[in-house]
Amino acid sequence: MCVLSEVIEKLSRLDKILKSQKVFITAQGADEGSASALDTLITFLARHKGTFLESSDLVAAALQGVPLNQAQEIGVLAAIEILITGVRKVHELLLLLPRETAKPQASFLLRDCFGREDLRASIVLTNFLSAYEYRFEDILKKINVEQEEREHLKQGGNVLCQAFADRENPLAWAVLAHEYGHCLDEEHAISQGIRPGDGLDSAVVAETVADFVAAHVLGPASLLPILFLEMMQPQLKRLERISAGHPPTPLRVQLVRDYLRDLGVGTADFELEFTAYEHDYARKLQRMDDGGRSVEAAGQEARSFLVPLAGPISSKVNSLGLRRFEEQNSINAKGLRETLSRRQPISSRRLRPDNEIFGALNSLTSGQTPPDRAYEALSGLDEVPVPSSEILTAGWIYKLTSFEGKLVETFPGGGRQPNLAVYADYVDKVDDWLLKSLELAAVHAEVRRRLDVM
Amino acid sequence: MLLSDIDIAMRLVNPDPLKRLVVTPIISAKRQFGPSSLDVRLSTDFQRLENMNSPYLALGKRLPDEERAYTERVVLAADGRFFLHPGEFVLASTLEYFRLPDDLAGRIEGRSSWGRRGLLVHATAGFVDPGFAGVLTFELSNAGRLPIELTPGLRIGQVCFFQMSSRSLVPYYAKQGAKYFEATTLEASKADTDPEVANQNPARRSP
Repeated sequence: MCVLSEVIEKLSRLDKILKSQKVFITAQGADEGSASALDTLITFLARHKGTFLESSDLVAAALQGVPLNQAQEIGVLAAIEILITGVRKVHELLLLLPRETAKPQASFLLRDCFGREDLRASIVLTNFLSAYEYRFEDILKKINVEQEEREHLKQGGNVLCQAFADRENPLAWAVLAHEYGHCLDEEHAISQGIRPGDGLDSAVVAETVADFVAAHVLGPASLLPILFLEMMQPQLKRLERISAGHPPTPLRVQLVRDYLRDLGVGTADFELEFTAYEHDYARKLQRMDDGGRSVEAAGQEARSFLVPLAGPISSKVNSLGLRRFEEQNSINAKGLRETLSRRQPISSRRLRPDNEIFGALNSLTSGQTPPDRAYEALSGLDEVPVPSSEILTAGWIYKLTSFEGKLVETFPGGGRQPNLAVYADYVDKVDDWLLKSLELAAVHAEVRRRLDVM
Repeated sequence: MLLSDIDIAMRLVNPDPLKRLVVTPIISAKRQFGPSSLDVRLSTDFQRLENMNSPYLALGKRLPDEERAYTERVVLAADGRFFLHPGEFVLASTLEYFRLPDDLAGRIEGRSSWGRRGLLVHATAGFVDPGFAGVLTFELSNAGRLPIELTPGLRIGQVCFFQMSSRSLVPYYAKQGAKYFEATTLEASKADTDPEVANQNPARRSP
């Protein structure tokens, strides 16, 4: 179900990007070549979508809990994999098209999470489906920019790359917090100060530092985009041994959950997704030529090296003085989820319960209440901005408790045609609420700052 | 009947969902409440009309789809600035998100202090239907002779609310062809979706 949701979501996002590119290219009167590259991508994606939809009755049956035989189950999985292939290929080929800038809300989010006005990092879009980070200075070295010129360019800072498909998807931006964790790691030389031990590349330690930084500021929601994206991978990477790069994901999940537990933050709201991920991972292990033995061996090796380092890494991350995600933020996020389900932005909350404010207002009499008392009662309506981490967590809880129903609505079965527009509308709307919420929270905080100065 | 400050305030926390008015966020009630209105703030999003790519606005042009060709979108940072030049017309939106119950209508107006600087906040469409939800659109123009500096969060407008004689039979959310329902950011004109425009005689359609 999670995999289907992820791929249908990515499909709707790609459809939107391609449609928007079509308008852009037509409007700019671009040459035939550009338009033709775009048309080719649209046709390619449509072909994969068409093939997938041929199995929509089986998909609908699976969604409605109708037992499928083994051949039917394989058919559903094959159909989903065909769609995944189409989505992944087209996303890679977006490199051929004109690019847009990242949404400003992505910077709002990072500024708020890390409490920094100047992030010293830019956010750009990439054709990779996952996010990554690089240092401007490292690229200058790679492209052989002269030392003298490099001096003038070294202020470039860090660049955070975000998938095109996630441009308007704040829930996926939790990964940006991980990437920004790399910036902090470099700035404070955290992983450099931790001896990785024989056979363990320091890059693996750096990934753990970034994971802990993201979890520190965003809580358990920092893991979810990684899990959803990985579930969309058709197979696991073959790992002979751990090397430069990310530790095996199940180990990352375990380390982050342990880290959060030590901070007093539970992960109960996301247990179902962690379990779904474990099932998906086990299924993919079984499908490997060697029954997954190479991956499991690499995982064991990584575990034996990394688990003892978790303590020193968490100490260093905790000493950075970042705003910490607390259990209370999780509780608040559940309340915000209710507001989101009433189809409203979730950027702020009142400090007093509404019934109490209503009572206070009700006790006033027009024309007889002194202005001071009237203002005091009215000030109960003032709202305070909520942290971006609560907005993202609420968004994830909302998505995880609503996507299944939307999938069933999208694939009604019983001979009725699937309607992908239903899911696309749902995805758009959730994006809209969350983008607006992040924008509101940023402006709200800025206005309060100005009012406080007065 | 025009709602007073206390009536507006009580609607914002009314326990009856059918009577509840949503305006969020209220950043400072003390500053935002007038005797019979609520001040609203400017958001980060602006849309300038481009006059270089098209000779005129044809009836059937699908402005929403082609807004990138005919408009320039400007999104400010929370502490960014936007300069509205004399005679310029831009679309912007309220920071606040609204949801009106079925028995309240609203009207957006400018604020006197900004009017004196030549800032007009709507050209013609200041009415808010019962049952509407979304941000409200500012149709900003500068009638003065100097550019006006604007920043997100400024209180440039105010909304007043009217108690209707009865609940609307077909509130905005239920209306066929409600074009701007639940918009969270400003949206360009969708006049082309009006059947009178969409179904005009092809022989008389603009080139």
